[in-house]
Amino acid sequence: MGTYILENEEALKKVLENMLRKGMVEGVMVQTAGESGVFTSIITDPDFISKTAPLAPLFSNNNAVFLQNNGTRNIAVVVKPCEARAINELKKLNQINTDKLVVICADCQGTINPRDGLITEPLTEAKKKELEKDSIPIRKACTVCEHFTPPEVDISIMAIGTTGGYILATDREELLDGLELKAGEIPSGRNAEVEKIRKENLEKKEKMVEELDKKLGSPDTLVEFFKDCIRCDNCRDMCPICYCKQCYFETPLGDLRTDEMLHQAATKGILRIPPDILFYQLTRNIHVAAGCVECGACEEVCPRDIPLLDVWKSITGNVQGLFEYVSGMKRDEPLPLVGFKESELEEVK
Amino acid sequence: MEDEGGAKESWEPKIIGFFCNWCSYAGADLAGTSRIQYPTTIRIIKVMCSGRVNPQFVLKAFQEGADGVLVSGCHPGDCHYIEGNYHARRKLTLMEDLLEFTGVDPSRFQMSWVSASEGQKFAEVVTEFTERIKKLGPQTKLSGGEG
Ligand code: SF4
Ligand code: SF4
Ligand code: SF4
Ligand code: FES
Repeated sequence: MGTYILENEEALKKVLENMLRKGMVEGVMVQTAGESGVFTSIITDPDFISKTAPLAPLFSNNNAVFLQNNGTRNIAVVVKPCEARAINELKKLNQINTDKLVVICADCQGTINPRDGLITEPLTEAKKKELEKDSIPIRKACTVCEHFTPPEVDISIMAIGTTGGYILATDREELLDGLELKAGEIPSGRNAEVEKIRKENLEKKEKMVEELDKKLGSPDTLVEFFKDCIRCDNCRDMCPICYCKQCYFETPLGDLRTDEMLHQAATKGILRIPPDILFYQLTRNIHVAAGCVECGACEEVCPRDIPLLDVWKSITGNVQGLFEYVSGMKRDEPLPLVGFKESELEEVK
Repeated sequence: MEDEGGAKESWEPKIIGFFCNWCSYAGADLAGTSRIQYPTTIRIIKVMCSGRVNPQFVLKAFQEGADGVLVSGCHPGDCHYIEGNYHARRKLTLMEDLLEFTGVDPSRFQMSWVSASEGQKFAEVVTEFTERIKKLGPQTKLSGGEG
């Protein structure tokens, strides 16, 4: 693995520009500071790279959603760790061809929803204090994030542990052809610093799960929890792991018309509309729990402000723990629900 | 996890069983033809393999008012599709994990292996499971009108 010094974000832009100019990729998916705001875009003209903000700490949705079923042309993508994990998970589910992607991912110290503020420099502890003063919230998912460093990707950018600037690490040195980067080293204190942040976030996560468990411990609270859901399907559509071409809830069995609703109502005398809210959520839970990357995109896009992430934090930890699996960290690894061991779960008699 | 509703004297639990065609359904059949007594609480739905049981079937059964759900297939190593029961075991363990979270007592769900020659075991499994569900009382968590 080669490790190099990037003095600043500009140096990273040079890497992107170089890939485009040399034709290694046909486009770069990256955040861009446009006139109306900062948004993710696909750039094909290398001259536009100067307008990009690859490390802007903004997250409005998980962009892995837009990489599903990618085609045959090469593209580089600059993504957050939770997006990179979703890409890896989708690769294992045969929904993304990573051979056609150059995934570039940097340490992430948290993001904000662009609705709450437009910031283009990556967050640091000092910057976070400033935001707090201005009452700009860090996304909830980020405050409880355990995997904020790059998983398996093509190019990792490390910020944590460095004294200014970044360290670029890659196994694919050919992607740097023509650039003269100074060799660098992964800072020795990095691991300790990463672990420190992880521990803090983990504590917050545990508290979150505890609170939820307390709430759900009493009767009927799950119904109560989802009572505002209008089945708009945003959480499903914007979840990178919910990838089915045909969702059960769009088949005649799941997309109930009045005849079926009357049938369901008849067993209890009453049926709430839209029907099957709990069934919908639980189905998503079953389908997604083993792969959820805890990005919080679902909660971000819920128009009824249902704290969906709390549920995912609780379920994902349990389910992935059960199979000793952490989703999206690697590209080649058996999926928990595809593989099995003959001698396991022997409590079933 | 608490479950509401104590069992009334006259109340009989409704148990839905998903049984694989080749082993467990045949086992249940054997119990019948051998005149082995077993509770009438169970309604069996035949599936070709326990691997066919989608966790949604189980949730749906609870939603429609089942008090307990039993899934049964061939013993490990005996599945007629080689590995269907191993997949079922993983999938349904995941679902069981979620059940707790919904407030439905996970012991309202059970998986068991019953072969075509185990009529006696079938009767025992159903009897024990019925006793357990009777103690738990009616399931109302997923069967309410508001969910
Ligand atoms: S959830 Fe983690 S990886 Fe994703 S944006 Fe937030 S801090 Fe970054
Ligand atoms: S369920 Fe929510 S948190 Fe989990 S991967 Fe999907 S969008 Fe992200
Ligand atoms: S986004 Fe919110 S309101 Fe829409 S289906 Fe999901 S939980 Fe319900
Ligand atoms: S055929 Fe019986 S479990 Fe697969």
